[in-house]
Amino acid sequence: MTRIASVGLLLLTAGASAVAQARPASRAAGASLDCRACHTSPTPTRNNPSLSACPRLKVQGYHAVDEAPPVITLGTPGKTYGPVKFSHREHAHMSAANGCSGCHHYDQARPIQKCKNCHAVSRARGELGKPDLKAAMHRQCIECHREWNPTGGCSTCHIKEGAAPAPARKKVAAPERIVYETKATQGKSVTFFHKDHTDRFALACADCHVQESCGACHDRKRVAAAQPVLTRQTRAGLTEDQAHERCANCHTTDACGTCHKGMPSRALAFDHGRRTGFTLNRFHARLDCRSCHKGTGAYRSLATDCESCHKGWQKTFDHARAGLQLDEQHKDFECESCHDDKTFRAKPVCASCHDDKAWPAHKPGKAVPRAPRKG
Amino acid sequence: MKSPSRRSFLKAGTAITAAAAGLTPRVAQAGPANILSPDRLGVLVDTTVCIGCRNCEWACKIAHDMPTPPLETYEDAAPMQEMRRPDETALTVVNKYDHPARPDLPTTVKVQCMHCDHPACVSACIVGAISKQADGAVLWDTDMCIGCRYCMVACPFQIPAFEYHKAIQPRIMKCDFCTDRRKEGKLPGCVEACPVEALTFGPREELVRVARDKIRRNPDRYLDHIYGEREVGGTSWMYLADRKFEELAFPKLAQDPAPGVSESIQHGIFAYFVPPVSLYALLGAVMWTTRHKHDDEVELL
Ligand code: SF4
Ligand code: SF4
Ligand code: SF4
Repeated sequence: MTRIASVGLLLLTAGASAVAQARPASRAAGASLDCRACHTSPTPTRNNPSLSACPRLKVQGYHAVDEAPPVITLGTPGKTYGPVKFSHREHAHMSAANGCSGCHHYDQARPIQKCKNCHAVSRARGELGKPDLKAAMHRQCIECHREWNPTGGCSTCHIKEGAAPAPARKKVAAPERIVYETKATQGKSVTFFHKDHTDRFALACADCHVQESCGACHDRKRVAAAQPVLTRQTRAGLTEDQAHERCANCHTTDACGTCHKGMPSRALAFDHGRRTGFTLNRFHARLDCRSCHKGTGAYRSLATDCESCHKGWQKTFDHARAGLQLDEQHKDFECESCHDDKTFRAKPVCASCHDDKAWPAHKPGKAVPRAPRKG
Repeated sequence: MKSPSRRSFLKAGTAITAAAAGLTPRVAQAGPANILSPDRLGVLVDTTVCIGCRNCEWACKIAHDMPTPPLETYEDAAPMQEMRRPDETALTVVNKYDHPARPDLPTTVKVQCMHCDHPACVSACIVGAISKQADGAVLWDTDMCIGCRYCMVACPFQIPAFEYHKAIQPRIMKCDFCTDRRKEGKLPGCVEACPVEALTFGPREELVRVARDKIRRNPDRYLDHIYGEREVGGTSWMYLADRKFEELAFPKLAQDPAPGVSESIQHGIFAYFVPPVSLYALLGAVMWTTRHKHDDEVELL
């Protein structure tokens, strides 16, 4: 049975190639794609096409960007231009928004395919539907490069034989402030303190600038001028939500006047509890942010149990500071006997020892005035 | 650009003459026999991919042993500041058109002979010096050309150029689809040089399919129009763009082949301006020879 099938298959294949030879330059030439690329069975039918999973999947975290090959040399040296030393990892970082699939498109999840597995090395070919290798690679690069550097020629990447390598690129000069001229009726100008934000939250460009054109940052004219303050018109036709999208990610509870100076406003407050899930008590509320979130750079979330900051505090803690002087029976207990949550936020429990007592009707001591903040 | 006005003048003149004689252009129509092969070749120019590097201009000159500045000098985009037409020193040129949506990224369009399927230049040539080949190319023949330059007037794309500066044997210069290179199994010079393959070379039928597929898959990127698929009866070189072709200086042309127009030019002229007998005899002799030489390719007048 198997033999008959394979003979049949052979005949079929021979017939097919004869047809292909009869029409060399037409559609058959495009049939270089192996049927098995899509069909799992040698005899797919209309009702049962036995399609395999489509390989046109996006690459998803095959490896971290930091593990990407740092430099890849592309092309062979030609007469006029040398090969390209492509700073692959740097580019991967820049395209972090799109991930690897920004360039390694239609790629199987792993391993990353070589471009030439799909893009023909020779330009004279049958399959004209997709660009050849040279074109595919050039298009990948040129799409962005042209946008932010329209006047840059071939030698931007193809260093001439014997010429000095390209000088290190200038860092993109981030503006200090951006003044948005908005469509608001009151408080039209909104100043965004760009540098403050990037410094305070230790933001890399791509943390915010995702899905943007490269030219939005790599704009030659601005690099040259390096203006500290930029003025931007907000785009017309945005809904209120769209216009506020970026800022409202963090500034959820701020009043309009916080940004739109001159608009009726209530006080600006960073609602620590709402944003972080850790409501500041009256002691913490008075502290400077950096007293807890130490150092410079981004604010990081901290563990919420007292011990993580106040090391060994329980040994010396005078309970009276909290407004209750413990009586003789209670003063030597472990804190956990009454406070069974580590953050000391829940009501103390009496039920572990006393069936008939409950806070705050019954207190294990005497209420005293709360201690003022130290220092 | 002087030629359009001269051409329209000639056309107008012809129309008047023809009308006076009660002769409709149709009467005079006799195009070349259809020798088009279904496998004839063409090039699909994707103007949304072209980056305006002008490598094609450079490669074209190299391919034709014309004086060629070094490739690096083509990185200077200054020559694209003004509109150019192919001429006797450059068989192809790239022109630049501002893009309404992106000031920094103009649309760039390579221009050369379209290698029409029903070429007006072929019909206009009274001695059969230009002929359509089965592989799609429209070629000019040094030995037969008498320098009348009717082809220049007839071409709807203003392609043929004339070596005005040459006193002896001036040639009509236009893209020859790199016939010599192709005979050696190479790609046309421009196609080979294009870094982004904005120029796709292959069987015309396949190119139309590829173009349709591109439009279908990227409706936002392309205008649903393959310029040259039907214009003047179809051309071997075809174009894709993201905006109206008129904005890119392509003439808006009907789907009828253009030759009828040009034939009425020559018929009109020959019917109503009797040329000196000597020239007539000479022309007759040339035509008689060419008739025999090229009987298999082009049915002459
Ligand atoms: S096909 Fe050849 S002659 Fe025509 S434009 Fe290209 S390089 Fe020049
Ligand atoms: S574009 Fe002009 S020169 Fe070229 S084939 Fe057509 S009519 Fe002739
Ligand atoms: S070589 Fe290609 S990309 Fe460059 S100008 Fe010519 S057609 Fe456009």
